[in-house]
Amino acid sequence: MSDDSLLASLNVSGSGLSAERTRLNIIANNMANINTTRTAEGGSYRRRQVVFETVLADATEQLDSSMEGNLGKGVRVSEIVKDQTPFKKVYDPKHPDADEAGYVSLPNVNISEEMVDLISASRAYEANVAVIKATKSMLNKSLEIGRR
Amino acid sequence: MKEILAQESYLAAKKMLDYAALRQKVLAHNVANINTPGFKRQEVAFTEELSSAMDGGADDILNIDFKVFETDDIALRNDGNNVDIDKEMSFLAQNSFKFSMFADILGDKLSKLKQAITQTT
Repeated sequence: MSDDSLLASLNVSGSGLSAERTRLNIIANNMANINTTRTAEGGSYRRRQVVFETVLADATEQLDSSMEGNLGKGVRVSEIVKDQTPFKKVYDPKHPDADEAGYVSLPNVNISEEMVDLISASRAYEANVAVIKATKSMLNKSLEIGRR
Repeated sequence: MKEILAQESYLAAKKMLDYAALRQKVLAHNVANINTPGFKRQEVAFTEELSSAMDGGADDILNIDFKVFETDDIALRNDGNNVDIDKEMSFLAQNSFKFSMFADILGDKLSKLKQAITQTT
């Protein structure tokens, strides 16, 4: 088996941190744009969502180890998609972006949904940090082998 | 008595250390994928029983491999992901403990060897 697996598990947790941080960024962006009615692509802001994808070691990386099975290498953000649910229609005829009937299309961002996602993302981030701490203590322990 | 580096207990402790290192990576992978839809948690197993290999001698222990497999635990979430963060965290604690334990065992054995080399009377 590959002897760097303990060091490599830091990379695995790192991929988790990076993916969850991307998710946090997207959530922050959604919340910041909760009232944005003008965007570069035209129309109101659409809620963004991250899609996570698991990463497995490919065949070439498996060859040097005699191990069976697909060893995981963590997670990555595979894409950022726009939420296609309809916009919120709010009656506000004085708004410059109101349509002929006087309705404004506000972004399809739901603040409570974002808050729940925010907590979930930050807990997942903390879980990865806990794994990194445990791995570091194991690495330090392995340096003590043969010290006595 | 066999020399320390060829003892079954030394080799088995070494194997267990390898196992704990690999399992740490797998557990890290499970935690990293806590929010990946459809992800199934992975687990590590020996290809053969370590205790029976210890009866077979040093070569048998050295020949043991590990396999990583996906578990089919029931997913409690709608997205099909079956990672339970509380379980992962307790496995993590157990695994770090095991790692230190086997590191200590190896350290003990090596310090005996060192004693044999350096103690001259």
